[in-house]
Amino acid sequence: MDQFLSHANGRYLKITLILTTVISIIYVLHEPGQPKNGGTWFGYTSGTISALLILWLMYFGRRKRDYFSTLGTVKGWLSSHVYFGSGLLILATLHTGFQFALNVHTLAYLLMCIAIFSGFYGALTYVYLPIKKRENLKTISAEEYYLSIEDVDRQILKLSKELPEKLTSIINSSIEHTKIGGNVFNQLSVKDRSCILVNDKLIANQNQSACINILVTELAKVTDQVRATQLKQTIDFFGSRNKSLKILRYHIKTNALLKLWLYIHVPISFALIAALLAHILSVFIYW
Amino acid sequence: MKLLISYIKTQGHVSEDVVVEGDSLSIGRGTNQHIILPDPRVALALGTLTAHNDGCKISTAAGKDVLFNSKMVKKCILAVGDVVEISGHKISLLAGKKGCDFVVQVKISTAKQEPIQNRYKVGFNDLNLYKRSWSWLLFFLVLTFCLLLPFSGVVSPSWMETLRESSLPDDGQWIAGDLIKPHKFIGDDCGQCHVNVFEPTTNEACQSCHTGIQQHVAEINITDDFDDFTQCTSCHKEHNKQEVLSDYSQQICVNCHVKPSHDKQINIQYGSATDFEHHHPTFSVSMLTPIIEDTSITKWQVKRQLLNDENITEKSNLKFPHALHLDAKGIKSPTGPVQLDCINCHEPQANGLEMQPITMEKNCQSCHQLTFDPDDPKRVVPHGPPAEVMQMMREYYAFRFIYQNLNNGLDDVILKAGDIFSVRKVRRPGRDEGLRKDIEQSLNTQTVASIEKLTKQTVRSEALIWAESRANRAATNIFERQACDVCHVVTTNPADEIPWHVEPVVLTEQWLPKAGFTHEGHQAMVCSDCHNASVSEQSSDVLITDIENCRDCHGGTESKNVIPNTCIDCHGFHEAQGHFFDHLPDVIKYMEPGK
Repeated sequence: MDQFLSHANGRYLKITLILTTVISIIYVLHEPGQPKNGGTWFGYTSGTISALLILWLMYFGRRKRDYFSTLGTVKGWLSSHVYFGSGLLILATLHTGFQFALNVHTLAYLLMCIAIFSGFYGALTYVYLPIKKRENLKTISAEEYYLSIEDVDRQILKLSKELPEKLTSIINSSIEHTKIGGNVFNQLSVKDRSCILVNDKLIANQNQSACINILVTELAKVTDQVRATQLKQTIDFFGSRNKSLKILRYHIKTNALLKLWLYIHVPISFALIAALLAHILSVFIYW
Repeated sequence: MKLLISYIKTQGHVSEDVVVEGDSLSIGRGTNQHIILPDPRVALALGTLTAHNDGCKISTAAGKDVLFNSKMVKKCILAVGDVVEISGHKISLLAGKKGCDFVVQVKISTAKQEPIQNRYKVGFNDLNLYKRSWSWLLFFLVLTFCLLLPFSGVVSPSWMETLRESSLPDDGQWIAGDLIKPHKFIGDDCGQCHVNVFEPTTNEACQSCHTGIQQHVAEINITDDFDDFTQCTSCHKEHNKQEVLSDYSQQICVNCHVKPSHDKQINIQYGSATDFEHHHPTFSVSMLTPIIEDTSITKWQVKRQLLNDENITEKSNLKFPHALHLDAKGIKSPTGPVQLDCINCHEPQANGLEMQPITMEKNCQSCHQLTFDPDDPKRVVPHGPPAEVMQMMREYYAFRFIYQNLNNGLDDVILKAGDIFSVRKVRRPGRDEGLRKDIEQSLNTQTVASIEKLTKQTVRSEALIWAESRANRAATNIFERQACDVCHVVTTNPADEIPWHVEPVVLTEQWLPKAGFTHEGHQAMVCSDCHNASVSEQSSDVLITDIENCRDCHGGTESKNVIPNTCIDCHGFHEAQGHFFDHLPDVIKYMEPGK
């Protein structure tokens, strides 16, 4: 997955480094006869290039869906998207001449920065999170983890039918009140918010520990060999169930992180287009 | 051994029977298994079922187990009628039939439970977040508040007022940078300067306030090359982080002056200049020069002359050797020898720029007294036109004759008034009478005859002859030998009533009118650092220093170890400061008589 960074032997990285270095040197050397700003010949040039670059970078959202396009590969486009986007940060900063204020021009710059830095984060997640994801799941697919939980649940329920009714209902509630996933914050936190109903009271059952505790206590009390074996097996089931849940929670978090940044990157980019329009037009309305 | 596998998918309905030769059946999800349980929860190879004479044995692979008699077990022995459960699928051992030893009945569970993923929101897509709707929402919000709303105010000025008064976003958010301090009064009224939408600010907008400003470049010099400079905003950029709008950089001057320029207004060709230290023409001085028509000076004109011209001379009509006056041994004066210094004559003006004008009365007369009669050394003639001098001397000698011949015994006020005409009588006996004859002989016979004829009836001709002859002699002395001729150029024309003519003296006051040079700023230096006056024998020597001398201390903006100077440090910007070469009204002042 990280191949997009080294695509074509880092061609776009090299192009970006060379161009930004050249442009930075020009910026330092040019003397416009006024404080450096977006209105000098350098300012107009860098501004025009930046605006066109923003449009091109946003076209990537279209290009990546264009499955029949033969205009380069998507990986190539992604690589250039990342590196040229990074170069835009330098180019647009030089365009500003480091003059910032509370106005629409700085708003456009800030939106651009948010879009670029969220893009940096996205590139980072695309490089590292798939590895983490694989390490977490080991060799089994997430689907199989879900199925194994279902299987374990069914077996627990079957076993619990032999147990006293009170224990059955506790075990049932533990399964019933297991929490996984949820809203965006729940998905991002791996915290187990599962509960269990004991004596009509809902208590926290983080990592199934409350349920296992009750079963262990019960196990200590029983004398019947068969009952003890049943209890032991149930505890084992809850143990393996918790293991799967933990892996799945991390899996859900990783999946959310892989997607969430795009919900900042894309809408902010569209806001940037509007701010860019306001920036360019306002400059020429009041020329 | 022969075993029959009987799959049942729905209640009581046999869907498939498979006969296997052998005593071992493999169980699992894989299609290479004998007993296939098509369920992802089941391992590909779960275990094996081995038939014996009285039953079967199930053994599972590592880590797998089956449910037998409500227990999860790794191994179990099945008798006919026993059932094991694997992920809800039931495998029962039945008595053999159709020539088979056992029938293995496989009941595939078709009970579908909702997958756990569907019960919880485990996917990001379950969150119902939509990039597209957020994108459009933000796009239109920014577009509305940052562009459309303020622009509606641009279209309708009254609506703009409403926007500015309300808390709604107005065009204030478009201001790219603060106004400079003197422009702050404009406030948020952008339209004061930005008159037309999508058009650059015009010169008219600037000049609506800056009415008195002179044009930076004279109209006459504006050619096609000057296109860049036709708009005020080409150079004066507002909304920038700067204190002033003027560009004092060397580059802006160099842009044009890299080429030699020609001022059509005064018809002067300038050299090109890009840097004070390395590329700057030699200095030109603006010197007042007499215009002579028919051997007489009609007017004085400013003439630009290069300082590196070896033949450059000043024609001021003043005879003044600086070297003599600055002699280290001192110079003679009525009170004995004095040591003169530059400051004795050259006093700076209060503005610190030029020197105060040199005048006879102030600067010369203390030594150069205009005495005309050795017998009356306190008596002087006025420093003025020859006619005035002659008039004064005639009056003096006439009165002196009368008072010398009066009876000195009478005590009268009038007589006392005549004391000022009394001089020591005869210094050497018998000389006076002879001297008188000599003096009176200087008048030609025609003059004497006309005086005698004129005065016969009124005053004694002797008196008038005496007075006129003495005045004439004294005049010849001071005009040609003693006083005037020392400093002035005196010409003689015997045909004139007063034959002597003193050429007017005009001293140049502003030698470098285009340079912002101040003597005040150079107080740490001594005069001789720049003006080599102590060796100057002639008043025609030009003692203004050339650029090389300045370069000892001053350089261009990039120069090291000297004072870095830009063009504007010395030069005014074209006509903005009202510097004109021919703008020297003092010339007229000097042309007035008596100066």
